[in-house]
Amino acid sequence: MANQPGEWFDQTLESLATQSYARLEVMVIDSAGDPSTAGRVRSVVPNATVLDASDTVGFGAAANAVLDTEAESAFLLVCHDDIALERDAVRIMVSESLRSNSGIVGPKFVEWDRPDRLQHVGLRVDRFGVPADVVDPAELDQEQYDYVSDFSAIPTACMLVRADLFRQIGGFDPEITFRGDDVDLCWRAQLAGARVMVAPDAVARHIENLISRTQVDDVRRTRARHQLRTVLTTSSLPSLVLTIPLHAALVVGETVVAVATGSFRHVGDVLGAYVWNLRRSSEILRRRRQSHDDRKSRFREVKQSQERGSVRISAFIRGQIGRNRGGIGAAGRGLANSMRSGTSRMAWLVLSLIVAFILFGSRSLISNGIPAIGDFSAFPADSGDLISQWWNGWRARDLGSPGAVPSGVALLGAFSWLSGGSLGLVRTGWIIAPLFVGLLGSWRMLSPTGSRRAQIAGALAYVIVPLPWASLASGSLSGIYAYALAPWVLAALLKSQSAPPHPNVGSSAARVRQTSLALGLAVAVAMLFEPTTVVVVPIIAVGLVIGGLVSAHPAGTWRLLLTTALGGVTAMVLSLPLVLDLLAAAPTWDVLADGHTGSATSLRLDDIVRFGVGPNDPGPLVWFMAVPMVLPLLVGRSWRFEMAAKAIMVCLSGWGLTLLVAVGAIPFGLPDPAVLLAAPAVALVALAGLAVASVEHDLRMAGFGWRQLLLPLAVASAAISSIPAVGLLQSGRWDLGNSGFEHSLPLASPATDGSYRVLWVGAPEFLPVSGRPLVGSMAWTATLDGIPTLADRFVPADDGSSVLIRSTVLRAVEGQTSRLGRDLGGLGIRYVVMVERLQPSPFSSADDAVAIPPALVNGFSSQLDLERVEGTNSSIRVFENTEWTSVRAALAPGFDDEVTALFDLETAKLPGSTGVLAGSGESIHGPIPAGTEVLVSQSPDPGWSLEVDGQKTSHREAIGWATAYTAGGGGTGDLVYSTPLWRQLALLLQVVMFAGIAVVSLRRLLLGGRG
Amino acid sequence: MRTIRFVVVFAVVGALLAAASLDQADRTPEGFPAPVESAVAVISAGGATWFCPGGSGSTGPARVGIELANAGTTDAAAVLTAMGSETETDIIESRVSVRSGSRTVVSLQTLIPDDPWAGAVVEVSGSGVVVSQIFDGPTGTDRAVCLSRTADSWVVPAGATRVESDGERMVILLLNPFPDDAVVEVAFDADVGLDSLSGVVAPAHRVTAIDVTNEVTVASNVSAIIDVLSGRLAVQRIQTYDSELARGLSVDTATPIGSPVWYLPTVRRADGRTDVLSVTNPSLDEIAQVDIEIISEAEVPLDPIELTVHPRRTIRVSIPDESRLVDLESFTLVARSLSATPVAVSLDSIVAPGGENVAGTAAGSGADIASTSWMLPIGATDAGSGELVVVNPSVVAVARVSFRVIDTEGRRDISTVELGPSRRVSIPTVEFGGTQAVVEVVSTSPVVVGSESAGLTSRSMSIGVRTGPPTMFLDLR
Repeated sequence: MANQPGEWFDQTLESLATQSYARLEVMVIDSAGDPSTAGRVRSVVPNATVLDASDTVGFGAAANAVLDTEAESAFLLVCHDDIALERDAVRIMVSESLRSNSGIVGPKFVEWDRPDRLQHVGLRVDRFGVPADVVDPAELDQEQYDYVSDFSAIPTACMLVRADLFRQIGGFDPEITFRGDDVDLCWRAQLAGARVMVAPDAVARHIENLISRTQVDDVRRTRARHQLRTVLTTSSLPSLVLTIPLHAALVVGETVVAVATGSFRHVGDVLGAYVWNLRRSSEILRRRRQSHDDRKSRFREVKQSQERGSVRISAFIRGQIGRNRGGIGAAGRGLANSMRSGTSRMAWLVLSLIVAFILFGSRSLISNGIPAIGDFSAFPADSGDLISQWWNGWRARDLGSPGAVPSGVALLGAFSWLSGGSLGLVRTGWIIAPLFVGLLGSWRMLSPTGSRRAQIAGALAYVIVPLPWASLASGSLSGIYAYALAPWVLAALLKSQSAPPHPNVGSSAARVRQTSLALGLAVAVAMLFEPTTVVVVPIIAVGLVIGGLVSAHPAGTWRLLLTTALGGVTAMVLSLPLVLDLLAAAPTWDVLADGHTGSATSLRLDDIVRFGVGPNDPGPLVWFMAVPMVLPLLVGRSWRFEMAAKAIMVCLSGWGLTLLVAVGAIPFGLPDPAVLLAAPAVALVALAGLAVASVEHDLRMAGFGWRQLLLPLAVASAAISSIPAVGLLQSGRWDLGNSGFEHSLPLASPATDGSYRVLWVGAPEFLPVSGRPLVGSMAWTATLDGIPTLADRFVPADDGSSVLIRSTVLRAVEGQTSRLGRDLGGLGIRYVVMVERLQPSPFSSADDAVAIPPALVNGFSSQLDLERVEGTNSSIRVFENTEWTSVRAALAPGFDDEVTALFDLETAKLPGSTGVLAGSGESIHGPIPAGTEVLVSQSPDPGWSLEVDGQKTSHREAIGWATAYTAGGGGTGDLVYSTPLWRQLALLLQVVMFAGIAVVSLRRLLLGGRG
Repeated sequence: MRTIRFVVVFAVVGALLAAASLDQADRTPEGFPAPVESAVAVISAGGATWFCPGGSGSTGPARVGIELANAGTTDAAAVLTAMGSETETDIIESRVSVRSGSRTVVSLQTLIPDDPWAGAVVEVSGSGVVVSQIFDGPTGTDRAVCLSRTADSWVVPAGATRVESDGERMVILLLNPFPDDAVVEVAFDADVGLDSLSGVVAPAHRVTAIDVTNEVTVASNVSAIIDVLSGRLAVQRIQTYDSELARGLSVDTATPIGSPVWYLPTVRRADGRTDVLSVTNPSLDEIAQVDIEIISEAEVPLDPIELTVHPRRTIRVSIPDESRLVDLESFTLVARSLSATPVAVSLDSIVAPGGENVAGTAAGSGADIASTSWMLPIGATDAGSGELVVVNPSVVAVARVSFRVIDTEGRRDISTVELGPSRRVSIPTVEFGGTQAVVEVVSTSPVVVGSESAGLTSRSMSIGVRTGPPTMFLDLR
């Protein structure tokens, strides 16, 4: 089959001319009708026949021209014009056909220029007609496939077909021009009772570059059409009843992904396949009847030779789509191969078990919902609120300040909206899903080792390490996200060094660019939800640098440092709103400190190394993890030892930093210990994988000795160390309590007396949102109108006037006032809640409590205007301020004539007031009495304005920090916040950047390099 | 390879050992800037809130007036909130102005005429105002500086209830200035046995009186430990004597906190005078070994009086009965708990009628803290004699002590004395001029200041009001 062949054509002809099979007659069908072709053919094969098939369209129709000739031969050898057969190839295929009575026999295809690389050894095809190659791209030919075997199809590039069979089934389907003709012919041959086989001793070199020759990239379109046509013409009716709906579902899924990635041509191609086949329905029915007439095999027998499931889905899940030469269709070829491997089956089994482990351990959380404990903030009642709070640009927490809510909040809102308002489902996913992201990261982190067993060990270690379960039990979302992020960071930084086993390909600059982008993207995604997770990066980087130096393998250190820096810059760029907030306000460490002050804590080294940072202490059995951890250090060689040295130094870096924080040696606050321990936890995961790699590579080679004893010891130790994790399965919620404080707080409805603030004081990990440092181990935060929601969780970069709250509290503690209530009342604070435990009793014990320091309790208890609310849960102390003023209150004009600073209220208290302007967010409405001033107790900002009956009112500073608006004759008031344009532009830019990255990434996944 | 492996393993082991060592480091968390807990009243720079548990109504044993003495350089304003013992609606708020150098007295009977007991909270803006209570009753007069704090545990080390035989009546007043009710338990230790009261509710914004005379009858010695189970209170004892041997009114604020060291500056031994030191151990389970040291002008130091005070019990030392003190007239006692178990002390002084000294009774707590700056209002009850005593608790430092008087005529420096280590000086109050004066004592090193005064018909003793930085005795050398 020739179609304006290139210079290689002579080799093709020569290989035919020199075949050892004596009775070979060469017939060249020229589908292009090129006059020069005949001359080229006869110059090499003088007795060859040349047929002009320029009146046909496509390969099948052209090839069928042979049916119109009078050639009488037992076999037909169909060959493309870019094939070069080895001398015995035809003889071997004929022999095999006769020996095994097969209808179609194919050779082993190798690459044209690199004959040691396999190209095809038969095709396996799923029920949708999608072929999966048996061999990996450019797989080295080590005779691993050199056995005769049945296949679903043989590429038409070179196939030996029994001539009678070819005539019986009518040759190729002439409607299938290119792509899919092989599957169609082979399936019909099988239905006719013929076997389809590969004789690998017959070798054919093949160029296979159709696109460059036709100059048309219609691969996806033609494949979709022809695969569906083949299914429609060859499947039995019962099979079609199942296959077509499944095919349609696949097409819908593919369409959704294509739309999401902006690949609208893709949509047209896959949907157009149905239209194309619908137009040819009569022809398809005719061919179905013909197939039925020719059928000698049962459909079931043919079906048994087909690949199970969907080749495309399998390839997509395994991340192979787009990476292979052939795009989607050819992408799944590795699947069949891998599934035949024992370790692959084990890998799938273990991964499935791990996923089941996580889901089973979280069953109660999934089925009953996750209470608002610690970082697990409640969601607002409406998904739209999440998006509007993100877009608003005003943070109501503390005393209010301008600033961006992390865009993850909006993303969660969008997910909630897409899920039809299933806020609970999205909230559960928000907390649980990162565990799976981290698992995937751990799997990929160990993939450069080339050992599937190492990856399995790492995945197992990922769930054995107690940190994620401690984070869940202690309500530390930042700990969960840090644990999910850490493997991606460790993988990127290890890769940046290009030290074995990581590939050292491409230029150094390209590697730095690639890894820093990957690092920055991973960090930025984590920061969308938890900005404090960024501290994972320096911990890992420092550990790797020290590890490189200690193990005398510092190569790539500068690339690592450069990658860290550039990755940080990338993450900052992608976190544009947060960065702009930090630049716009005086930079504050509170954003990262999560309420910690740097004061010493009770966390001991034993707890740190065992990751016992939650209420569900893992116990001493976790120490057994040390044995497999040190194994690669003791027996590893080469890159196993070097990676292990780096991993152990990452462990020491994280543990060391956490210990320094615990003893109070760090003069500033750092996030939750669970965040700091994420790096060592993931380094342990890496060490587990390296232990297995060391066993595979090094222990096997070593002579018998003490090293061999380590193996059973390590296995036994790993098994023992897993007992605590298994034990946690019992509760179905990782020992997280069943209730937050929402049912324990006797807070009034803001609708009754007006809006108010709640001042929360306690250990940072117990506060319902991230706090600001107070003194010692205590932190504070203030929330508006009761229990906070997700948007309140994050500390704003801009303090606003929040420093007033801290100084007011300290004033009481130092005994400088006995009228704290008046000061707090001037800040709109109605309740003070002192939190001593993470969860209300009985879901927490006194052992897990962090007591409020007596000085703080005495300071509040000694106030003449704070009333202790009795009968609350023993985990909290609640004071109600008897002199509170609503956050938005109407007062008589001149109400603060004697007040120039907040603390003047201690001697000149505010007169009686009425709470006005109900609501929240950027637009607050309500009636305002005539002849009053409206005191708005929040940080002053030019974006706020009060309109009464549509008229903008004047304003002034009041009580030394707040704003008073003149209501004039009264009316309906609207307190409105105008978000600065630059803030909203920054948010949009961030969305555009992430959307662009998502589209590019998905296109690359789906379409390979062409994407 | 072997060397590198050794280096790595060595580094890991070394790092873990270093971490284990670091783990043992002291990790005291950063503390709150809390005020020093002391029984001594204090005036803060920006103002103060005074808690005056008060006294009786017009027909009771101790009619009370609230005296505001302004020793500051500017006029001061205060808000006085009077609280009665009957209903919460008795809260009366009154604004009071006090000119610099002058005193103002507000009678609580005027504000709350119908309640049998009344107290007050005085919120003062501006420094230099000392708030005291002036008592007047059928058996005598007395004065006591108000408390500058509330607490959740109190000790009343001494009292007597032999009402029929000796006219002794003991009342404990509980002032609850807060918006929450308080619940208290009272444990009595008397010479007639132990007794207790449980579940006593001290309603919010009210004064609650516990008439111990009705609870522990016919006891010559009663002490009380008051545990506030919920809330905080200010507590005071009113003790009356009405017999041929003793007649007088003694009002003393209770001790809000135990301390291992107490100074009682003004102790005397004289004919017809009986000073009794009471030492109470409020601990639940720790025995207190207490030495009573004597600071006097004697050349030879005297051996301390050694006491063993069991938990929740009180030991009394009658000064006239101590033979080693027989040669002393005026001295200072130091109660030092050797086991560092906090204790509470008080001194009750009775001068029987018929002697050469002014008859009457007085009571005072000690000082658990030293300072370089004190204020002391003197001689307001009636004209008479008295002494102001300054003690240098340091064993090495010499204190240069200056005295200044502030009254309606302005501020006048009176004298300066040098006080050697562990020495005391007693200055007659007549040297400070009028009876409406506030004495300011400033020293180069921390000292303790107290006074005793004898009017024409009554006696009084008190500790000064701290205005300087506090120094704990255990921190002194």
